[in-house]
Formats: sequence, C-alpha cells, structure tokens
Amino acid sequence: MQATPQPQPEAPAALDTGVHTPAETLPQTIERMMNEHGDGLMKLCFMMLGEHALAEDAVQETFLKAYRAYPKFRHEASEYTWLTRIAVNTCKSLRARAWFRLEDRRVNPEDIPGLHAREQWPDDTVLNAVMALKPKYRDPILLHYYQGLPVKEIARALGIAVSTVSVRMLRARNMLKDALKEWYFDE
Amino acid sequence: MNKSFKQHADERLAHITMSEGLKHRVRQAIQKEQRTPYLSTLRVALAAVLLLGTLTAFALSGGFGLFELMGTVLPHFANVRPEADTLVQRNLAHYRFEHVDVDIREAAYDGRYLRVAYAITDRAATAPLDTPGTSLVDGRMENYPFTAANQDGIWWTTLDWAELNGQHVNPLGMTISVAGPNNGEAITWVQFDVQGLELPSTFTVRLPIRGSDTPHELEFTMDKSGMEHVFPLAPPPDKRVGNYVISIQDITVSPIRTYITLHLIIDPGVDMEEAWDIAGQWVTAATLSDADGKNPQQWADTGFGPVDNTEWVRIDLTDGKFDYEDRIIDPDKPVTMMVFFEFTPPEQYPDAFRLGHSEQDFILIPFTRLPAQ
Repeated sequence: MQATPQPQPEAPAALDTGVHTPAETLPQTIERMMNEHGDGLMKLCFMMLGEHALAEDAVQETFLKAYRAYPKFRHEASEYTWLTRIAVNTCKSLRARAWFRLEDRRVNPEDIPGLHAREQWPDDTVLNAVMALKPKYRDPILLHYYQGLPVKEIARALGIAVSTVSVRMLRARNMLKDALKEWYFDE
Repeated sequence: MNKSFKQHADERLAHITMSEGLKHRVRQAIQKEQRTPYLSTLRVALAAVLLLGTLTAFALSGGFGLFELMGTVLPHFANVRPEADTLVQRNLAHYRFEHVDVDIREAAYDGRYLRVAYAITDRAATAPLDTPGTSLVDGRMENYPFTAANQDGIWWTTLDWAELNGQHVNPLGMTISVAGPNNGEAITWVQFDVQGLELPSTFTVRLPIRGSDTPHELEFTMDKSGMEHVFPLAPPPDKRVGNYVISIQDITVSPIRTYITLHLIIDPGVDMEEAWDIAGQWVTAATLSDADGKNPQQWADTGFGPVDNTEWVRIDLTDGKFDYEDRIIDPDKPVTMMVFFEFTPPEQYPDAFRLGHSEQDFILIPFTRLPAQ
C-alpha cells in the first residue's frame, strides 16, 4: 500500500441507486436494497466483526432498522451511505455486546479472543494486516478504502471528529505500510 | 499487485455474501413487524388519551427527574402515584472525568425494576446539546455526536448491564437519552430487570459507566425505602373463555406501575397460528380498568410468547432455501402463551380490576392485598 496522498475514492457506482421508485412498497424497497447492497454490507460487517455469524446478525439488524427508518429517510445521503452508517453503528453495538458478555469486563474488547475469529477468513496478507489493526484504526480504513466513504461521512458514521478520522487514517496507513512492505496498492 | 483494496477484498472475500437464507431471515423479521403494528398505533392512541388523564406528574429536579424523563418517551409514562416519591433516591453519585461529569441523579427500586436517571455533562459546553427534552437517540440513525463523552469513553445513551450487590442484571424495557436544560448536558433513563433478586435492605449498585477502552464502573448505595407501597394481589381462580383458559400468574401493584403476568392455556387441537392470534388480541386490545370498565389504566409496556409445548424449527425448502416456524410439539397437550403487561397505576385503587379485551375475553381480579414482598 503506497503512502501517497489519497484522492477521495468514489462509492462503487453499481451500489448506489439513489431514491427508490414511488411504485415500490417498503418491503420491495428493502428487497431491492438487499439485492444491491447486501453482499457489500456482508463483507463490510465481516471485516468489522471478524466472525461470520456476527456479521449475519449485523446485516439482518441493519436491514430491519432500515425498514423501520426508511419512511424518515430524507435522501440527504445516498441509500448506500445511509445503509453503511446503520451497519457501522450496528457492528459497534455488537462489539460492545460481545464485550459485555465477558466475565471480566476489564478486558479490552479489542483483545477478546474469538471476537475476531478467522472462520472463513482467507489466508491473505493484505486482509490479515488490515484485520490486525485495532478497530479504531481498522474502521476508518474499511469505510474509506472498501466502502468508499469520504472522511466527513466516516466521521459521521463513527461519531468522531473529522480531524480524528484523519489522524487515525494516517496512523493506520503507516502501520499498514510497515506491515506490507512487500506489497503495494494504488489505493 | 496493482489493484484497489476494494477489488482485492472483494476477490478474497467472494464467498462472504448475503445468502438467500439471511435475506429470508430479514423478510421474516419484517413480516413479523408488519403483523404487529399495534405497538406504534397503541402508543399514539394512548398518548392521545393522556390529554384527558388526571393522574399526577411530579415536578422533580427542575423538570428532568426520573419520572418526567420517562414521560419524554410518552407523556403518560410520567404518571405515577404520589407515594412513588418515597421510592426515589436522589444525588447518589458524582464522578468527574477528563471532559465530562457524571451524576447519578435519581434511582428508584420497586422490586421489579431498578430505574436510573443519570446526567452526563460536557464541562466545556456553552449551550445545551439541543432543545431541552429532545431525544438524542430516537429518530436518529446514529447517536448524537457527543464528542466530550465519546472522548472519555462514557456510555451515555444506555447501559448494557448492572450489578446489584454483585448480582448481574440486564436492562429491560425502554430507555431514552435527552438533551438536558443545562449546557452540555445529556440525561438518560435506563431500567434493569431485578425481578426475583434477593437483596438486603441496603444494597450496592454498580454501573458500567465507561466502556471498552478504559473500563470504569461506577458504584453507589441504595436502600429499599418505600417498598411498603409495593405489594402483590391474590391471583383470582382461572377462568375458561371459549377454547382457552385465562390464568393470572402474578399481579403486583407498585406506585410506579401495575405489573401483570398471565398465561393463556390454549386447548389441544388449536393450531399455532390461532394460538398467536389469541395472545395477540390480548396484547393489542386488552385494557385494565375498574371492575365496571371505568377508569381504564394506561398501557406502559407488554410482551408475549409461547412458554411450553412449542419449538422453533427449521424447515428446508427447495434449492437449499430454508425457513423457520413455531411448531406445537405435542398436539394432544395444550399450548401456554404468556402475556406480560405494565400499566400506569390508578389514581384510586378499585375493589377489583377488570383485565380483558372483549365482553367475553376478560377476567376480574379482586383487590385482595397480600403482604408486601
């Protein structure tokens, strides 16, 4: 991964369809969103949580929340960005629940064995390096380089300041640069 | 290698997809919500009824006491009997973190719930977080960006557990976080299920106020004062109605709520769909009133589901697809559905309660007081 200045990536065009058609019923809208965004969200949640079953729970909850909230969705962001925000918050909540399930709650959730179990995880140097980052560094990286969200949207999704996102991304990229000396990416 | 991280991750995680089974789970969850639109309807209806209500709402803590905080969810949630004040203990703890102060303003224990109102205040703030009383959680897809609390790692919107004298308890029911009237202040109501917990007259409460990065638990002491106003009523004999029996399992009167748990014991031969419908009618339409139907109480919470002789089974469909459904295990035995209700308390206790949803489907509960627990 090159440590050069990064242009703002674009959201994958195929994922962003914007406003639903007026003819759609709400369940049809959710069905369409599942078909268009489901796989991407599943991968995102899997990378955020590191566990297939947890990722499935997160995606299910994401679409259920979307169903409940869609009537209030004002399309100020794209459906894709909106769903991503919901998914990120759901994953954060699931992480917290996993931490709270522990007997010893003084354990840092980032150190919980099993929370990032590598079931179905490919033996891949790049992904392993990203997954080795602590969540506070990994999340901005995933949202930027995988989901294609600009820094401002990442800050909104994670509930942290834009400057904090920038600092964490810079640190994360430096960590990845060290971990992936033998590799490089355009982005 | 010269490709984007997204391309790389998509290739290596090609097997991680939203399966048809998962989509089906979502559809099923949505269908379940569509089948039960009663809650939002009921809440709106009950909120309207409140305008005519006569119960007392207390003015506590400058308008943001525990009960008034509950009233920000639905106004009638603030309705409690005057003696509820004896259950409330105030100014229980204060903690100072780097950016915010945490104050446990009020807590009330009534043997069924421990309800807590706590404030998180950004010391550097120069204005309220929002219009006082505005929810910082509901209607938002993300939490309000309460930066100071986040910087200190404070769990300001809810708490996932508590310990009472070292015994673990879980949150149950509703919760809310609203902007307080003071600069930088968020006030949160959370309640924990303490039913069945054995506690001495004075007990400690531990709350996980600061989360994952630097765990910190906040502790304070409470007592059971005011519990003489909380007491059970003697359950009436079971009553048969058509193809099922109404069996009151528990009715507990508290100055904060009237709690009722009933079983609907449904005859063998009734299928699962109808069993759900029977219970669903109670959940959506049952009212608690005086024996003559006057002075209906206001709904505060409910829950229902099967408690025996049923299982949640997977059904394999074609093409590898699958579904889940409730199934009766032994069709020669009855199915019991449990329904749990919470109502705001009456202004005056009646000689008997009437709980039901039609001319036939009801049960009378004489106000026969048992000793306080």
